[in-house]
Amino acid sequence: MKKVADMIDVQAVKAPTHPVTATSGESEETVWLDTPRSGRDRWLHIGAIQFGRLGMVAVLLAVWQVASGRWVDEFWISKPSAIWDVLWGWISRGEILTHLEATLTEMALGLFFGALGGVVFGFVLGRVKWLAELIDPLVTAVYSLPKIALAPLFILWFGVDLLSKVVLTAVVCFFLVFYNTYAGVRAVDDDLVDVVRVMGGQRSDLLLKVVLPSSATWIYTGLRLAVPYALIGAVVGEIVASNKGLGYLLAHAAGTFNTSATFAALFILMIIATFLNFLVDWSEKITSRRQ
Amino acid sequence: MPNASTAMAPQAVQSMAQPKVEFQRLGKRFHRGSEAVTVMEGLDLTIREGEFVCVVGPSGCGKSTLLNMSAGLMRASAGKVLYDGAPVPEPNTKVGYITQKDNLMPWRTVKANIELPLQIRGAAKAEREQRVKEMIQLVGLAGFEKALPSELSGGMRKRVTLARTLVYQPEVIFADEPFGALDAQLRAIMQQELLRIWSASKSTVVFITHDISEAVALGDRVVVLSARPSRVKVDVPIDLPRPRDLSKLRFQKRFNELNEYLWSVLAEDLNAGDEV
Ligand SMILES: Nc1ncnc2c1ncn2[C@@H]1O[C@H](COP(=O)(O)OP(=O)(O)OP(=O)(O)O)[C@@H](O)[C@H]1O
Ligand SMILES: [Mg+2]
Repeated sequence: MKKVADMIDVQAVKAPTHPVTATSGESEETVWLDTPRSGRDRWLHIGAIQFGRLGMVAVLLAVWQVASGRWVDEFWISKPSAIWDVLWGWISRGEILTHLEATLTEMALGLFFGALGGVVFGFVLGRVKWLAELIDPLVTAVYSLPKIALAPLFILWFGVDLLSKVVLTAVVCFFLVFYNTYAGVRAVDDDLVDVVRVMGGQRSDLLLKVVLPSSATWIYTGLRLAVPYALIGAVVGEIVASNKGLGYLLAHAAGTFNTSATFAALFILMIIATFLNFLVDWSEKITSRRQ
Repeated sequence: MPNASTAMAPQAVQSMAQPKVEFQRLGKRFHRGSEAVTVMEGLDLTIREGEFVCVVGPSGCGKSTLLNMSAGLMRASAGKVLYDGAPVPEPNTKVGYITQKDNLMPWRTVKANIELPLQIRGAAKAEREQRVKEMIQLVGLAGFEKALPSELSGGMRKRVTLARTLVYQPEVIFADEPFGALDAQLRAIMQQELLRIWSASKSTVVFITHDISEAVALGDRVVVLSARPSRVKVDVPIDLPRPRDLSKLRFQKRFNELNEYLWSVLAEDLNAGDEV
């Protein structure tokens, strides 16, 4: 076997004959190549982006308006002006409020109960290992089922009114929050728990001072995921069977071949979803600042 | 500085003291599937009240395991661990345990981490503030009160762990290589501080280190554990006078003799290797 020392070229690693001193860099001034962007530049940038976005939407709407009835049958794609007429009709007659109220109430109640159940259940299963082991296959089986597929069953059980949609939304949200909470509680570092036990921590200390804060980010992730899914749950429930709500509006419009109203309902849903996203982002900013 | 004649005096007071932690025929095995790995077998050791005992031994011989059992976080597989003459409670809340890994709460600031044991023990707000402030000064972290553990260096985190344990003045301190990550100067300062706190508070210290000169400098006794399965190989009383000025110790002949002797004892097992 070859020795490592033999492989090194001894000639190449001779000591320097002259003492090497660090050349002084103090006499020269440093030239920074990365200059910070000025405030004015930044505003110009943001302004240009916003302007560009608006322009894009305007072009899209214009093309749509022109194409409709000329190149594509209006029956299929309606047109922006017609959609606006429908929207304005709903708003001016106050009709929209009933539907908005129904959908938002279902969402809020479903989200609240689903999330509450998810957090509690996730905590219990995360801490009680034998229980988790026992019901794990059952939970996995139900979890793998598309929850939306339960809508007909819930309508059968709870009727076409509010309750069936709240239950559907709650079930959808429950699983998202439950799974994240469970994973977060399981991920708690046992060494941290031990440290607090030696300090004299009681069961409540372990939960409040270790398990809860350490799984908080997980729980929060679950809640964030649950918000858009709550909208899905409520709307799908309404599409399947109901007499009010945005899902009902949508299903009714499509069922009567009213393309303009269908687009108008979709537009409202888009607005709500965007608003919810905004709310979630905003709450995230608030909480991360508090950390 | 005490003179040479007091240095040779036997430490009678220590041997009269009550046993605080006792290990009797202690054995520990870990099970991996159907296989059992014996880490410790037939370990006998008594730590008396007020003693400062240093434990050294090859890596992986079971030093941390020994402390885990003493803190009541792990059960013995054989033999007994006694605390104050009774089986060790699970967990042992009378002790402070500075673990090898710095188990700080990542979401708590330096200040809040040090405050945690006082909160758990229900100390009043004013007292907590006062004690935490003292501790932060002591470990040289003033100005970092609001920092999170992730914003600290390894040595700083270690100091927070030390402060968090000292702040509630436990009767026994188990320290698992607490100064391993510190640079030489800071380590010297912290060692001297620990000695000062120990002699002022009359607490008992079990101190694990892999640095023999640190063990000799700090301990009343240095216990050398053998390689796996570990037991006590030698238990050497350190007859250096107290109080000790750590910066001058290396000029003492006795200090160097003890160092050399312990090196030779430990070297036998180091050569045997950990390549099991
Ligand atoms: N939870 C565990 N499960 C299985 N084996 C373990 C466990 N904890 C420790 N061991 C084994 O026990 C032996 C002793 O571990 P321990 O951490 O006590 O060593 P140590 O003396 O503290 O070593 P070091 O000086 O490197 O910290 C090791 O071989 C390790 O693999
Ligand atoms: Mg260890």
